[in-house]
Amino acid sequence: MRIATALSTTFLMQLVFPAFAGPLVPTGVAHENLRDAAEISGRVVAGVGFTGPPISTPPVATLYVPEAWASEVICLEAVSQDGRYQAQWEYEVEDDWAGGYVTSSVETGYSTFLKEQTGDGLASLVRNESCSSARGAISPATWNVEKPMANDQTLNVQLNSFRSDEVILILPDGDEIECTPVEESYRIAFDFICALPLASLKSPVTAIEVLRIKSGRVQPVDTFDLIAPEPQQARP
Amino acid sequence: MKRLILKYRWVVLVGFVAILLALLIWPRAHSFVVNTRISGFALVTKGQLAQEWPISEAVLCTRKEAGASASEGTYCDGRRFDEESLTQTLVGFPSGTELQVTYDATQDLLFLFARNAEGASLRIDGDAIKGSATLIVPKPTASIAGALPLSGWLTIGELPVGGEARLLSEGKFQIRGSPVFQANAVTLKEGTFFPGDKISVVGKSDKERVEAIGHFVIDDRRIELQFLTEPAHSQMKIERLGAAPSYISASWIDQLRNDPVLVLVSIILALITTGLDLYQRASETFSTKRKPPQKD
Repeated sequence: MRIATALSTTFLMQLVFPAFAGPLVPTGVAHENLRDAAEISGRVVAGVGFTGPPISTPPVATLYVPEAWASEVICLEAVSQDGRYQAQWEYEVEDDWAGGYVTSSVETGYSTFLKEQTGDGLASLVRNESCSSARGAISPATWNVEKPMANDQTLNVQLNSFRSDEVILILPDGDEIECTPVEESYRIAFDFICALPLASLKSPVTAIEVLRIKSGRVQPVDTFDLIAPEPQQARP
Repeated sequence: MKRLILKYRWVVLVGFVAILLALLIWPRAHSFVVNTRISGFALVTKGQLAQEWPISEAVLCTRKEAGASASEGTYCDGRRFDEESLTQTLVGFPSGTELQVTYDATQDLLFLFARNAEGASLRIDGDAIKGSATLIVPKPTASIAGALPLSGWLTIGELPVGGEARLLSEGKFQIRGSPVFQANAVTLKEGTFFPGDKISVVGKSDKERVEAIGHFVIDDRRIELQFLTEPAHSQMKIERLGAAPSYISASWIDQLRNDPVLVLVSIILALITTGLDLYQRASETFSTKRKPPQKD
């Protein structure tokens, strides 16, 4: 009986998540919702993205998956600036993945909504943990664009600062990057955007501190690990 | 002529009523008058109203230059801020400054955070402060005498997400508009807010902000803020955690229901109709009387 259930589940999975050619195999874990009102996420980093030329077949996500993540479970996340749309997709990276950018279509019930998402409106990232956890190193992901533009030398980091006055990113060598607040009326899922120069990232992982200042006081520091897309792969 | 009036009297009456109704239900500009008790608000300063705030005791914190050594800080973090004590100071705001005002009742501290993408965020006794600045007013009830005026794009309260300190506790609003042919505004609609609501006044579209003029005082552990908006075809946006934003505006029904002209017009119309009817009957009776008696 148990085997039959398992078999039928696998069969259903095949139906729901048709295998697509690519290094990412969906694990079957996916959550997606578009609400009338916002839901607020509790994490500091909402997304890490790049800019690139628009793709002809939206909606697709372009994500950077380093070689080190081969055969690991990864989680692709997206949240819209107004906080109404939140989604997670879990994948398993194939064993002999060589590292690089992957353009992947997703199973979605909101493809009309996702097609319209360009620029900073939809914050997205990939983590090398299962979607049930909130940890893992972070790698950039962006919607509806080709690979990053050759002249794109920055990553955009979207942060939820929990209503801080000012936000600063501190790099391992002590360099500081001031973040800019997003327009006042749309601060829901994230409220600051930081332009992070690619040149400031160490290979393969950079530990970045998020310093938040509120009412003249420095808030407890958050740290996240950012995967640096390798330049030679980022710019084919 | 007499016949002409009698013949077309209904056409004239219906036309008159139609024009009046159109005038009465035509959307007219209205203002919002709002009175709230809050712990904080955001303001983008605009307009010509002198926004000079006299404050007797305050501490100004400005961000340190990169690489500067840490200093002692009483109110602000000495590693990141330079602190300056101010007495009997006049705080002004250049146009376009984004201001966040928070009152911490537990510590009895008023925080003003100012940022201006175009340059100076504050004026302290006339001197422009470059970059962002945090002004802290200890014991604001004693340091601030009376009301502080403000004008610009106001956002009252914030959605109660984690870490948010600028919340609305209570408040009420009125929509005021002038009835047709009248100069004095009447209340078209009124209502109350729920704790945790976030309020702003927008134009026809969400992105179009409407300027508000108001003032606030600090009283009994809260900021008491009142504002009104200029007459416009505006709507009030109320955001509530877990609900889609709602927009409140005066509809033509509100306009009609609160219009004393409507009552007056109804009376006049009734009088005209009765008058015309009487005139008709009278003229009929008169003409029958005039007829020569018929012989059998």
